[in-house]
Amino acid sequence: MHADKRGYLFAFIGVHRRLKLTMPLHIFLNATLRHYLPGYNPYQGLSLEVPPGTSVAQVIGRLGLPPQEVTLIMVDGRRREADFPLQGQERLGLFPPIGGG
Amino acid sequence: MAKILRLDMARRTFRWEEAKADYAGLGGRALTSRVIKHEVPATCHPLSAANKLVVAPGILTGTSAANSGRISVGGKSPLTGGIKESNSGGLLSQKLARLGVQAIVVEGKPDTEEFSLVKISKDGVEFFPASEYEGLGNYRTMARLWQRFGKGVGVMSIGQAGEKRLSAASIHFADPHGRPGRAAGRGGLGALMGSKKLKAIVVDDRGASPVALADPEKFKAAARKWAKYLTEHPVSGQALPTYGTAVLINIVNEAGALPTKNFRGGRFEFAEDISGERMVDLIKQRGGKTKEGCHPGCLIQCSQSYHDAKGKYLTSGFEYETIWALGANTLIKHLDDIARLDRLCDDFGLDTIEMGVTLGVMMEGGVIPWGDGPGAIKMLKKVGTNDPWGLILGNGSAFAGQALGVDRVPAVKRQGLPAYDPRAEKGVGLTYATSPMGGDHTAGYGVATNLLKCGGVGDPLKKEGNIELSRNLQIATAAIDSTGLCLFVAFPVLDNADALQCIVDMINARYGTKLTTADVGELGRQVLHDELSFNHDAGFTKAHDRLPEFFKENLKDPHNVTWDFTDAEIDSVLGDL
Repeated sequence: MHADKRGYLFAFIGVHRRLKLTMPLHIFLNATLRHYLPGYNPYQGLSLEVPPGTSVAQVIGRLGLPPQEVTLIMVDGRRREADFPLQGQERLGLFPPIGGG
Repeated sequence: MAKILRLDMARRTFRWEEAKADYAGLGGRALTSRVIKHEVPATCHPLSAANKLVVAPGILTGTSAANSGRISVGGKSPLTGGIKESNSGGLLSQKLARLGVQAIVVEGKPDTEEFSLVKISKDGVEFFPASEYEGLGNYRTMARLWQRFGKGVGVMSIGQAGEKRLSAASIHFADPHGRPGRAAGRGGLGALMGSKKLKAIVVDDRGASPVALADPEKFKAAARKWAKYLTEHPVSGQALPTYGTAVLINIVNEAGALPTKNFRGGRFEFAEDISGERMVDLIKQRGGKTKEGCHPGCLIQCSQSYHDAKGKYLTSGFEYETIWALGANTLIKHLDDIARLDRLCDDFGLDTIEMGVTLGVMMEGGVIPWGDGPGAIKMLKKVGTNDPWGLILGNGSAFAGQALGVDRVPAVKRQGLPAYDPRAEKGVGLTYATSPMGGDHTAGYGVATNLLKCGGVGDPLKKEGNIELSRNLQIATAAIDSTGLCLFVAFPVLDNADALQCIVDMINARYGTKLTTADVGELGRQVLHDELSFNHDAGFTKAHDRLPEFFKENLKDPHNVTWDFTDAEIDSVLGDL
């Protein structure tokens, strides 16, 4: 296992215990969005505790990302819009406009 | 007036021909597919003298229109047995257009074993013996040809795989650095070129006049607008130049559509290690280059120079599809191993997607352990030798599956599937099934709409909307592939109706025509019609438009989805064309 991934697992278990088995939101930033959070570790992602009903837009606001640059939102692998209400324990992937192929 | 150059490989002679009415005004894929439909017996053996290799710049190629320097290469595919158009960048296309060459048609084959080299310049066409280049890879072949004919000449060449006529062999085009990172990769056209005993074509356009424009002022105005559309769109203007196409690894992984371990899962545990973001970090650390164009006039600049850990150039044109095929698909997670495999493919002249899929099949058969990068490199190196394992690998996924008794072969019409699981991206799945090219993503890239939100919004996990999406994109792509424009212009074109009108304005100003955007759609339909009709005559039926059975298994990780289109639904995609 990658050293960073191992570190992430320990960190994650730590958070897990503190929250008494409540899973936090697990956020992955991609491409240029990473520049807005210096020190962001892409192997770990970010853990964030949010109450049920929090919108993706609110999360984007809390992270300090410019909302107009977050154009692709994936919640548990499905594309959603910024007003999508979260339960609080999803996997959230945020992307600027990207393409290729 | 552009002319067609016919090379007779049996007699090593050439002749120029005015375009017949059937070919007038056509370029790129429209022309290669039309020539093949009209001139190649559909039932011929792809490596026989009856098959033809057709090389055609697009109808806008040679002009100042941004990103218009792509080339179409066509023939009856040695891999699929159907018609093939394979598209590449590089220097050659614009030079051909400036020399007034509408297409090169390579015909016949010699009785002897000696390879030839053909040089095209304003002074004419010359055949040379190519014995001194035989057995060389594309890197050395191109370096020597630049040495001999001058730095900057256009080159298309084959490596050892094409010389051996292996079904996964590609044709490579020198990029602006003289490197073979650009390829008409898919469908084994390198084997067709090898069967003609043609090692390379060199095109020198020095002294050629610029292409004639019917209305230079209108052209200039439209071309200026065109450049603006490309640079202002966030995908073509920012994302592709910054990260290259590998920026897709993370989003396709996030979407659960990144085929992992020979299409067993939709997410790869080590996706970040092979991502575009990681690639760019390594390139910067090692003094490579993050952006390069594949031809002069490219504004998108999605290519790069990837260096090894010692800071020495290793490869370029290091694409998403390549990194997926040789990475997530085989569980190889070290980007340097993947880069070495990519370089070997470029050097031997092999399609990187087919090689990744075939290595996956070999891992399936227990020949190489899953994730074994050095093992895969060792195996790929055998393609450059006379080792029979090299012949098995170099003939592609379906062949290797037969050789090893493996039934889990992700291929349609014997062409290995690219980097999106069809169960979790159903739009491109329909393109895999129905494209006359065989399993191919570029032919109708549903991913753009379903995952990347270009040209509207679609759902990759549901059937709804995907039949129309695949159909419309296949028609539009056939048209774009005929213009010489890079397919990545589709991102701005899908999002901006003015951009499509701008393409039409450029064509009209170039030729003095009065085409409308509706004519562009009609052109796309005509191209597909030619291709489907050739395949029909070659013996293809609806039964060939099916994905392998194992896609009816659920793709559990993460969406628990399956390939659930009925046969009738699949047949309706291009049914009435």
